[in-house]
Amino acid sequence: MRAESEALQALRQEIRAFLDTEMDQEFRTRLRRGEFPKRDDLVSWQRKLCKRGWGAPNWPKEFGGAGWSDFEQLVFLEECSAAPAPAPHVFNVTMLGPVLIKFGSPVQRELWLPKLLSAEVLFCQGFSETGSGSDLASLRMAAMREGDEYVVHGQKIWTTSAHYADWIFCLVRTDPAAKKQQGISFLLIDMKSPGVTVRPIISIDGRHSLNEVFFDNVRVPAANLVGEENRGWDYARFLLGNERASIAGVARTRERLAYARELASRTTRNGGPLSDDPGFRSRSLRLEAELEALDRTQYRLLGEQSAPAERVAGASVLKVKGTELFQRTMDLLADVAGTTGLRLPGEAGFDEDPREPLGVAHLYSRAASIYGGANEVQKNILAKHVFDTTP
Amino acid sequence: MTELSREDSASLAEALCKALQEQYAFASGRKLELANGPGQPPAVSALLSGLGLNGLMLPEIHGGFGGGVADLQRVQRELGRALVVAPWFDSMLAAQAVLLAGAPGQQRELLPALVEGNLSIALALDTGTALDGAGQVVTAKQENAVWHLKGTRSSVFHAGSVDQLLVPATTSDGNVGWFLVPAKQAEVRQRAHRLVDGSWTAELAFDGAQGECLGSPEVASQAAASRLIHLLSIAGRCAEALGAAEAALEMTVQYLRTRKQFGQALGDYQALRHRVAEMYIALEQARSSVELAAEAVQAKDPGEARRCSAQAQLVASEAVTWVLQQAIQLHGGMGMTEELAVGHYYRRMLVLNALTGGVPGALANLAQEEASA
Repeated sequence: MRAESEALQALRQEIRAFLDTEMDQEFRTRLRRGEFPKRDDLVSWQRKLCKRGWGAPNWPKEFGGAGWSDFEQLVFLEECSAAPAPAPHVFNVTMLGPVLIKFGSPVQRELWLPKLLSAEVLFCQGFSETGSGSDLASLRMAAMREGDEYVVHGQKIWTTSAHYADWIFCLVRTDPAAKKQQGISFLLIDMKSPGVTVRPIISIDGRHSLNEVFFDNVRVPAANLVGEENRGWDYARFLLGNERASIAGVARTRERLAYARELASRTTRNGGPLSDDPGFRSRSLRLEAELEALDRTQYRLLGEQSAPAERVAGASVLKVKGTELFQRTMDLLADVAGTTGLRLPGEAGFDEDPREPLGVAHLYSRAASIYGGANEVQKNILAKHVFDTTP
Repeated sequence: MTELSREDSASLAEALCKALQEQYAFASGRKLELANGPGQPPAVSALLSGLGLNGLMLPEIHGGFGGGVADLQRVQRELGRALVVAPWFDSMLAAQAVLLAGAPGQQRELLPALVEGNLSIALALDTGTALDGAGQVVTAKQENAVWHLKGTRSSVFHAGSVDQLLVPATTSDGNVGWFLVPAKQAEVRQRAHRLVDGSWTAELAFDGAQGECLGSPEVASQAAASRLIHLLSIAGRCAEALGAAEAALEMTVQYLRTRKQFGQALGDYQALRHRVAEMYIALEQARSSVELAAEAVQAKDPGEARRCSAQAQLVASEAVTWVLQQAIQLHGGMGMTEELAVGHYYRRMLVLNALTGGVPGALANLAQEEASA
């Protein structure tokens, strides 16, 4: 139940019609089954969005973005999730683009923004390190200035899609003597530079999406520094704050819940359709109610002209509750899929039964409460906020 | 059912634990089995056979130890801890079916072969359903004194690597009998799939496959065998899950002691210490469930047995699944890697949940039990 303005409703219809015609059926089926998109999928989808003028919903129009409000962006992401279709490229568009727009030099904007938009290059994100996960500011990868270059030495971990990305935006330590948040800079590095090595990490779902990236005295032009030296921590905080519009993942979880119901209606258990089983219905109805409330929470927080501290706290609320509901929905899907849903792909991938990839997707969903700031860290942020602001 | 003495049972579990630590450590033993093909019996089967475990629950006259359900659970707990995926447990259950329902001649032929490790049996139970289809039915028909089976099963564990399949099938007069079917015959078509815990399952199509009936399909012992297999299976799987959760909790505590963030060990954060405490509470509930599941096997009243068994399954499944999810969570990104054992326990638990029906299956059984009481 959400009263939506006529303009938003019209936009929603427009987006839906676009997705219906432009989203390739075979690709859509793979996403519904719970498979990862491939590089080619992401590139061609980003180009389709771009052609329609929707390649960057969150950028201002002058830089080629759609110039949409928070609410318009949310409607767009909701429709993409429901289709399902990929959102605009997360590293290029959601993360890096806004940083360059706000902190990059005019030259950098002119050089990079069109390439990010058209997926001429794909970026990945180099933040986490072996000893610096939740405690990101303790990162150690060094970048020493030598003339017109930085010499970068160190290691990043959990780097999604580094094995097919062209470039990586990294947090590096440029001042080892400064206090931990203060000596960090934001640097763009070509993955083809000599000295860059990518090592795959196979995750518990048996698939390869994560990597370690090693930098062995990699020479990076100083022109690739974004903004000012030693101000990278501020840029990273800005970047992570921009995830707010998608962090709750309500639409994605709703799509998974609808899929669980569809599969349950096609599954016989104890002599009847599983969708009629009281236990199944109790779980799915409860999830639906909680998603409805979370959706409202998200709209309230987007709409409020709140203080920065409250915005940060709000993002943590959405992250914790959103990932909990997502994981509970993926638990439900695993129960629906049974043993068939626990198969690993063979050499030629998964077989035709649509339930097959749900087990590995379920396993990967366990990461949702770990990445992007573990839920335990979010709760620390929230506790501090509540104590600081309660009279 | 007899039982081993307390001392014998403890020393057996100790010997098994030691052998698994030495020969089946995660990186040097268990991981290598993940490369096995569907027709290859896991190497760990030889280790179990070498310890004499094939005869664990068989009477001495058939060459066994005369162990009971508690002994079975002690072994299963060690196997859970070591992440063993092998047809041993299926063969144990099948042996009980032979003991209960088999004719004396069948017992003399089959049981010593099982004890010596010359025979392995997989249970072809209905553990999955086809999408858009009804349950899987297998029928048995007798022609010229030979039984022929027709029908499908969608998910039979270890079917590709065992000698025989034990299949419940419906005869033309509506009785359900247990049929022993040689696995490697042309009339048993197999389509193999590897699951997330590394185990191999197969979709089976019986196309007039020849088999022999354990005893005679008309007699009540067939149904008694079904009941016993179900109860033993829950008792054993609960114990296996407990072993997995105990191992994962140990790993988690060790990790929290050494991993530092924000200048202190993770184990010093009260929020994480409380989580560990909650995991410990859940494990105590799981331990009690293991005992309850064993009592269900021995209960005199069948309704009481079903209820007790389903309660144990409900609590153990919920507790262990949650503990294993938390074990991954507290390992952070490392918990998400295939390299660490901790995620493999969760993978195994997902399979155990699918096999037993997990919490939803137990709830459905309990509701049915309550309605019929």
